[in-house]
Amino acid sequence: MGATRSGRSWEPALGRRAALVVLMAALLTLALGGSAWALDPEGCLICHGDPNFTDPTPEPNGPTSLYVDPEAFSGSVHGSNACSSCHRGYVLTIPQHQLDASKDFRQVAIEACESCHSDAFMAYQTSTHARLYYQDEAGPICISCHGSHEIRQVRLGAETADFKMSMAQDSCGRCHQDKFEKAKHEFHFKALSLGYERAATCFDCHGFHENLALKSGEAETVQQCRKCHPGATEGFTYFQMHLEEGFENAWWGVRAVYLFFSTLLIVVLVTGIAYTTVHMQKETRMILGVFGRGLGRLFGFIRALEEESVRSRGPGNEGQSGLPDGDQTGGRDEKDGGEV
Amino acid sequence: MTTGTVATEGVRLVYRRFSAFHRFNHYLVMTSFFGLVLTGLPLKFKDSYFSQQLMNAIGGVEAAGFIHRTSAVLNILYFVLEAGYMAWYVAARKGPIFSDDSIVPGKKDWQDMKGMFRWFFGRGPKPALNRFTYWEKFDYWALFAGTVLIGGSGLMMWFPEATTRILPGVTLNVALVIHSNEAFLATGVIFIFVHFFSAHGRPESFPADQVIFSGYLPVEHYVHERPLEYENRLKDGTLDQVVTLAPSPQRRRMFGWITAAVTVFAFLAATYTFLLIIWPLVF
Repeated sequence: MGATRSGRSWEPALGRRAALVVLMAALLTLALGGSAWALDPEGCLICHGDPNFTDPTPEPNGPTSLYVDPEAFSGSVHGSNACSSCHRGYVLTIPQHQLDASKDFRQVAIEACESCHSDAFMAYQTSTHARLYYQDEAGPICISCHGSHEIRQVRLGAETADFKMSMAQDSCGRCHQDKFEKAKHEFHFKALSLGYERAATCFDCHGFHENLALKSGEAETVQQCRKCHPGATEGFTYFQMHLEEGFENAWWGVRAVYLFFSTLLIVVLVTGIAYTTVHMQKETRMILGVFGRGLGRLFGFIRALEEESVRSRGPGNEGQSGLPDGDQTGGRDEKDGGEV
Repeated sequence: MTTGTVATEGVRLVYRRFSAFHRFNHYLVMTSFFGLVLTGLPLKFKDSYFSQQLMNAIGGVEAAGFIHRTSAVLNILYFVLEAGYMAWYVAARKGPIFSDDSIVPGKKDWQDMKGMFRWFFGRGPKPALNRFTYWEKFDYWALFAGTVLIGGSGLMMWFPEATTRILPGVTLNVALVIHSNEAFLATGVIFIFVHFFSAHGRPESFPADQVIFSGYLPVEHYVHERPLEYENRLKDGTLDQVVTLAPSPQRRRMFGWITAAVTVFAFLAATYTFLLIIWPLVF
């Protein structure tokens, strides 16, 4: 609005230019996809739907992208909402929005979510995530896990295994990668990755918004386990989760049993393979047959060379002892060859 | 030589090695083992392409779990029957326990094994084998002991709430480790290396030993395979306890078909298992 007061001379020109830009962009968008206008009654995507649309304010890490993927947004659970239902306090002026700089955008975001999802917000308020956010504003807020424009459709109790898995990997695992890497080897996740949608993922135990820490032996933990295992007692919670593949971080008893049985496995299998190979070779002469024949030829060739060298040295010196030796090996070779 | 004279008269004689009870138990443990391996291993090797395919083919994790638990019940039934038979055998003094022709390992097995190793490397004759060879005893007792470990840990994980009412939750971690490792070991021993080769794959019985399916063995094979038992029975005059007339041609044909079907299935299952295990190591 400040622009109107600053001078009459260019005011119509700006208005006309802006109108032209809007019109052309609108025509272009309509030509590209007629449905876009229906989803975007305020026309925000005319500019924000352009992948190269950036904030011109100089930033140390290069320009900030202001792009919103129209398809991702229309496919999201908020796809039919207007942009302004979340983005409040913006005055729609083009080319630059008038921002209320006194408010942090994260606070704006939380307030926007809270206005519809007050239950989730109340649950979040008690969580470790919220405590971190209120401490130094670095902790995760709603959009850190849920995403902003591509919020996915979730029907509680009807999640697919793929969705649960990707939530664990992309939402929780983005910050808790170490936990996710360990949980992957755990049977809940194994079942999940094979398509069992009832198997627990992160939020089934830790809660959606409460993100409980869940220590063994606590009443809260028993409560969470009972959601799937109704008969769980305190002892149940001493099952160790998030273990490494080699059980390095497990109770020493688990690791000892693991090392014992892994050793047993290797010893028995290697012995078994070796024994079976030898037994089969004796019974069928198949396994080492080709190889054995090759060895026989090699020995024959060496013997021929030896004989040759003995002969060239002439009779008298060591020839007597060398020749019968050669004959002996030759005899054994032939026997081996015959067996093969 | 009783058999020699009888055989020349054109009558077919067979050696009855396994009773209906033992054959039934082998059928039981065989079917349940296939069921357990094919639904259990995909969970251990979840990243394998073949695991995903198998799970989809079975009808998902829930169906696989149902098959696994049903097979587990059958497997436990095998164990109960076999243990019951053992107890009855000992209590009723049905036969020798620590003699050379019982299933209990003895000094003769150690000597046989040394003799076999000498024979493998061309340093002696093949030892005369008795009713049960040392590798058959290994198979028998390894399966029996393995069932205790795998079955016990499996039951704990089947009923985790009941288990942790008595024991701490970390018991389930230990149970999982034992179950997973022992099951892999058993699969390796049965499918890939020891049982399929030593019991069925030897030249005398290749590709499958029909004796465990039909219970009998042609007398000529018996004399060749178990020379010592044959000799002893000839001496004691107990040969007529185990040598009988061959079953009817219809029954023989039926057993032939059963053996063929099981062999084809076992071969496919073993190949599939091998691929399933190898796949993540290669790719």
